[in-house]
Amino acid sequence: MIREMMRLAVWGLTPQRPEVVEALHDFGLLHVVSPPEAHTPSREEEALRFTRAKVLGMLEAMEWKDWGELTDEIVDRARERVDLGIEGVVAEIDRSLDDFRNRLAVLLEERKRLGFSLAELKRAHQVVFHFIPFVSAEDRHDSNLSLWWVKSESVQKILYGLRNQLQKEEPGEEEKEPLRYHVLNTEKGQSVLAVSTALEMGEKVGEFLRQRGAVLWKAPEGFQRETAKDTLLAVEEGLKETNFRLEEIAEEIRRAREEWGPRLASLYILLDERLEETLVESGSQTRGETFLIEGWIPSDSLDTVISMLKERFGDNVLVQWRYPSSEEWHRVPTLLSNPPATQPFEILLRLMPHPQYKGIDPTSLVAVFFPFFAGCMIGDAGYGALIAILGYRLTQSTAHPLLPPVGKILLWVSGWSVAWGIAFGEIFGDLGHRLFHIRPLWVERSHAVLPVLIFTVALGVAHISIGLFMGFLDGLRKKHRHLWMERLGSLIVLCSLVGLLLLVRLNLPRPFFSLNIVLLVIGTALLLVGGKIGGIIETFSALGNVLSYVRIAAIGLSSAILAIVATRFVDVLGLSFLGILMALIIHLLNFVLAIGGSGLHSARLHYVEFFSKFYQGGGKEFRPFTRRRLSWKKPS
Amino acid sequence: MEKALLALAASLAIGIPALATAYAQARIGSAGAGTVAEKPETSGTMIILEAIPETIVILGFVVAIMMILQLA
Repeated sequence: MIREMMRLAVWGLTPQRPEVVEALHDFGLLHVVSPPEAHTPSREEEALRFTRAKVLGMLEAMEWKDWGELTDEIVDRARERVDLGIEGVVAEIDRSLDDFRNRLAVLLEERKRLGFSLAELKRAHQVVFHFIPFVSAEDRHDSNLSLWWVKSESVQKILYGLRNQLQKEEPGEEEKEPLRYHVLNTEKGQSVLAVSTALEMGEKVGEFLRQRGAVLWKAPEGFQRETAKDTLLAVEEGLKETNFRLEEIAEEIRRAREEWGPRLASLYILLDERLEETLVESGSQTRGETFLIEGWIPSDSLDTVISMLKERFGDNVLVQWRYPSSEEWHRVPTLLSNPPATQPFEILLRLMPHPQYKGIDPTSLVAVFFPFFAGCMIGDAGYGALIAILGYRLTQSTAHPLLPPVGKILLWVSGWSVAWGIAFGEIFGDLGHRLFHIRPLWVERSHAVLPVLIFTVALGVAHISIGLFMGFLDGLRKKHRHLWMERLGSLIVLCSLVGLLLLVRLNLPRPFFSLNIVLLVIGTALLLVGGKIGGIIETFSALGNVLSYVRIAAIGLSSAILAIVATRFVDVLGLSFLGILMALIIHLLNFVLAIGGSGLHSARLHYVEFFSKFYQGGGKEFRPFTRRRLSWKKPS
Repeated sequence: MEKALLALAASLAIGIPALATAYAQARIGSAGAGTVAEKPETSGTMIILEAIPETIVILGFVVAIMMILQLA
């Protein structure tokens, strides 16, 4: 149902404007309408926006994400302590935030710097760890030890050339190996080569290696020491210290996040609320010493708002109200109001454009047909019971605001799944029949395909007829002659065609034929008058829509057969672990497909086939001027 | 022979539309995913567009069932 709206105008004295706006904000019932003139932001507005952005930036820098855990109590406590309406408060908060932000920035900057340093040290440590035994063995006063980056493919060639070079330089010393080395192959075709030679050969070795494209390996800046061994030890020590400091910083940020996160988030909300109030104040019209705030309000809330305003401001405010004229209907915001049982189905309308104010709210019809169709597709009492458990768990969930309504929809679907499961005699496929000799109340759909097909087509005729009838009523209400004539024509033609089909199948008496032909002529005439050739095409499309409901039988049939196949695994593989496991896996697959497929196709039957007959989107959603509550979401 | 031809026709009646639908849905799906990424409010329209080609498989299924019932 779409709530009836009224246009409300609140007049007051200009000095009292902030109090009146604050009161309206507290009531949270008015959809404020601001005049369309270009708005120049005031200095206060700019300051509020700037501070709000700063707070959000700090929350993000602290990696605070617990918006869902922010309770009303925390926000209310902050509201009691901070009055943003007092002049200068925002500027003072801004200054305090700067102090806090600077301290946070120092920590974050250090963390960033240490992060880079850690990455470098880790790369260096890979080398250090590998070369520690070699370096320890070669660290003598008469030897020269150095590490070099070389291409992996040229390591052998370089070593061969270097050995030859050293033997030429010191040909006599054959009993002593002139070159000792160790190689570490790293990624990307690079290797680290550690060479140890006699002390006096150090310079020549360096020159030889540089000529062949080798680059001296160096430890990260600040960790280079005189000897290779000391360098390696410094890297190891540096890695430990950096890790320790990073842990300290992480702990400091965590403490700041826990202590300041909820406070800053509350401050963000207060700033946002104050900004909204400022925008309403600046958007109100000023006429001399008075101001005017206008908006839309649900008609059943009118008395409440008037009495609250009178109680707070007495005769200092003047309230006027009226019903919207038909020319205004397209500007009136739409507020859906459905009983708790059908309310969860409103989420299915969110995927469609919002309904118009004087349009039709199809939530109740969706609540009837959506679970009915989905249940018919699943058609298994065992799966229905599992869906009921899943639905119940989701209704209790607080992880996401969408989960409880989805859970309630699943509970409806589970009810119809069990009912259809009894009609088709299915409990986890044919398991019910095998174990308890359960017989179908109506037909076994895996064998009797045709009755189910005919039933789904009949279901399609009924559903489309309801849609056309709703479209007809909508056209009448809006005095849209072409619309109601076309919808009525389509409805009559559809009924007459069904009548003719029944006439042929059931051999009904001849007068029925004449009656159907008369109906067909009347319907065609209405179509031609209402929609011309387009009307005829629309009717053909309606016939196609009716056939589309066969998918209920088709998906149901595939689900039933898959469930039977799952149980057959136990026949083939015996009552073994593998047989039961395979049966469970196929049942699980079928269960997931049943939930996903039935939901998607039921939704499609509504969106494409049903809604196209009467639903008109393009309405504006009712957004009351209200304080943020627990329905609060992370700002985007 | 007649039965074999009927079975073949039934399989073609559902197989060819299924392939065509798969092709159409793949194209619509990739375009739709891009659109929804940029404009999340179009998700409803995209589901509708994605679901439209399926009708042809349903019609193929009906034809195939009719043929299989002839076989029986």
